[in-house]
Amino acid sequence: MPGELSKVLTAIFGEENVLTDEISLASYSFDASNVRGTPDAVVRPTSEEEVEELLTSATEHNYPVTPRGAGTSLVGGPVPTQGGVVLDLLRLNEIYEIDEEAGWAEVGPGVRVSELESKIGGEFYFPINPDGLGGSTIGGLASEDAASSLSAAYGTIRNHVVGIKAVTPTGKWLDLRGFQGGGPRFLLDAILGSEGTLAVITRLTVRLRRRPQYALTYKVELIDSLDALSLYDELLSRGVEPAALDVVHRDVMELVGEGARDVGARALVTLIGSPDCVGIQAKRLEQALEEIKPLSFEVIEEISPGGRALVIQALRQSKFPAIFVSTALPTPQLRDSLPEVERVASRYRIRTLTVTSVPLGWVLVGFAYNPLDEKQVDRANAAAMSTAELFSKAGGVLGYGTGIGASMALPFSKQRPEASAAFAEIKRAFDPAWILNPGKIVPMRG
Amino acid sequence: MSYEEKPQPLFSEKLTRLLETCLRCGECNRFCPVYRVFELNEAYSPRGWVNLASQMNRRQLQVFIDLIEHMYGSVLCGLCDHPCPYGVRPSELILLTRKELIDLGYVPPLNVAALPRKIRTILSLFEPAAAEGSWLPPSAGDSPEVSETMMFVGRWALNAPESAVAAVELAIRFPRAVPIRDMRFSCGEILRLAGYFDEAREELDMFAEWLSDRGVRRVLTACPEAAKNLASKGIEAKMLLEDLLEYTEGSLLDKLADKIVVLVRDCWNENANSAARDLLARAGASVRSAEFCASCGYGVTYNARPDIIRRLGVSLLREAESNGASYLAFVHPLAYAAVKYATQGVKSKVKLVDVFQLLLQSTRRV
Repeated sequence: MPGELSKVLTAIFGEENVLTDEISLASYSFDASNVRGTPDAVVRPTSEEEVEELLTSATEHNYPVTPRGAGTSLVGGPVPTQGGVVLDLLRLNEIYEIDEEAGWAEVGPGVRVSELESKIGGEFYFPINPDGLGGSTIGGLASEDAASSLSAAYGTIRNHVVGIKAVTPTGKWLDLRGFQGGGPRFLLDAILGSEGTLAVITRLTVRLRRRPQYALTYKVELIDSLDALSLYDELLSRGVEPAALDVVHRDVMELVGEGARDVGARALVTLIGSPDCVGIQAKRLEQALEEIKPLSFEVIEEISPGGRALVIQALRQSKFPAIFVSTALPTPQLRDSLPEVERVASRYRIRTLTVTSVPLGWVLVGFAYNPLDEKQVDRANAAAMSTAELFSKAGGVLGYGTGIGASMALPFSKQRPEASAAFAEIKRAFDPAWILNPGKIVPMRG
Repeated sequence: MSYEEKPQPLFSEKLTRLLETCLRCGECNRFCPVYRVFELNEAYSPRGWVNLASQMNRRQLQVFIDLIEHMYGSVLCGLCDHPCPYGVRPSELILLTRKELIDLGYVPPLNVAALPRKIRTILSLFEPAAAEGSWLPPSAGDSPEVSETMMFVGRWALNAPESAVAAVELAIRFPRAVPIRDMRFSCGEILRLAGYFDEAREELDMFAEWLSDRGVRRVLTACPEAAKNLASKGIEAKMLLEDLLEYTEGSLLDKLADKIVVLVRDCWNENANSAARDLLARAGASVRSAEFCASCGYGVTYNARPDIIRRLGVSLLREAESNGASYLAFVHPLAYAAVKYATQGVKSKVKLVDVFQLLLQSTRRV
């Protein structure tokens, strides 16, 4: 790393908070995806002001800065694919205030969902917890526009961040902490989900949710995934909006040891509310089930961990990693695309770990592979690319719930050239030197 | 190597497979005490170590001396093994990596973990004294040499003689076991933690044979881990702490009344922890659990870097101070020894002890 950069960083952060040794650099070169990139330095701020100083210096001296939280991204969001400096935000992890009466908390970007939940009373929770484990940071979830199975009822992270404080690459502070951004909401919305490419969020005000009084989850065994779409239609026509309706592919059920002959998919339908309200919905759900004729169903009295938790369990059983592709599609396109994914999988002879949140139209497809079998790795990669292409052609939003990151940047710019050009224009306005998290959302500058 | 040819993995197929199973989700990091004291630095985290091993394996990272030393940053407490959603056991991966590195000739620097050499050096230094049993308390001298129930203090006694003495005294005062004076033996854990699995088995076998030759039926162990290892050989082994719990009912003096004790648990052995807690409460202490646990006695002494143990130790002392504690007490005697050694020169009002030393204060001489 250039000596001059080292001097600049040390002046801002102090020697002990600038890591430049080979071991540290290797330790900040990855996330939960298969994207890799080694930085020239890692900095570990303990104050918001240090972030501002870093960004203005990076703009002045023209070196890339990649913000990072817990590194749980599935798409390479926090990986420094173009080198430069990794901005490790984990130590900005203060919980500044919790107001249970008003139902919000003000937190640093490095606070993990599990940490926040451990500090709030059992009556409240934070439903945007994509892996069900709580390991992701709130700042990371806000940047990557995260969703979870319960987003059908509660909305995505966008509906849970009501204010932020952020600093742009030219050192301008955006204090949007008043309720709903304290001004035009669109400014707040522009920063959320921008994957750390427009500004660095240094503080967030998030909404907390009251735990529902009562919940039921129906585990429904279906012949085909598409039956879950019909089930959703039946429910809507009966006036029932489920809090979650995940459908999990047969391969997942087989891997977790709960597969059975003829079962093509399992649907997990969650109803929440007061006991009597849930009771009425449950009665109508059972009527709807009579229409679609499932193989069987059972009921549990809790919010199920959701389909994504089953996918994780399946990976655990198989002991294989997977490459993920994520999208959101309207129901009719969903109906066409799900069988297409099956065809891709059988063409490449690879297991799919597919989970679909039907109300959101959110499909997450994982292609599991044996990392020691290079041909299988190649086939998994090819299957992922074909799937991204087919989702794009169907009009899907790439990276829904996970962000586009580095791994889907190329398909995005290829299939949506106008959108990626528009993004580049916006980015230039915020980040004229193009130093903040380059290589994400779009692969290259301009 | 031709252009297309991919480099061979550095490590065995088994380790390669295990390393690739980790999806880098980082769930384990949250539970790692070392990660916490290094203020959430990824390089000092279970996922960080697994990533470094994997990069070495893929030849993306050259093996060099600092990196070998870095792999000994883990204290192998195993707290990261349970939360993994994919069933990966990071502590096992780190341990296997160390072993395979040694097999490849990448021996760690002496001050970190040159384990067999170090043991031999220590043994040769101590052997004459050890053979005479000079570290044993005087009352042990009156006991017969062999009995059906014997008290076993492993070689760790050489590192923590004060807690070995306390353990033996307690064993004589209450359960009346005869101490094993021969210092050749160990339960093998020390070698296993260094990745020497075969040698560990040999050590344990040698000890088991010695016991059966002398008709020893029952062994009490001061170290919680030794009981587990001996039991795996079909020897009736019991932790001294559990035995004391049976024998001291109504006979421990409340010498610790009004004293706050912050207890450093053994993260591998919940039975030992609850026995220690109950015994200390019997002696009148008000017991609180420390945030970090430490079962890594052998690990910390021989296999982890002293600078890391120092950080952990200082953090524990500060926690005890803020609790207004008089004592910071370790369930695992070697963890005590290691932390005491590593925190030399650190000023604190809190006294560092192991549970046996504290309990001994509350007993009468037989």
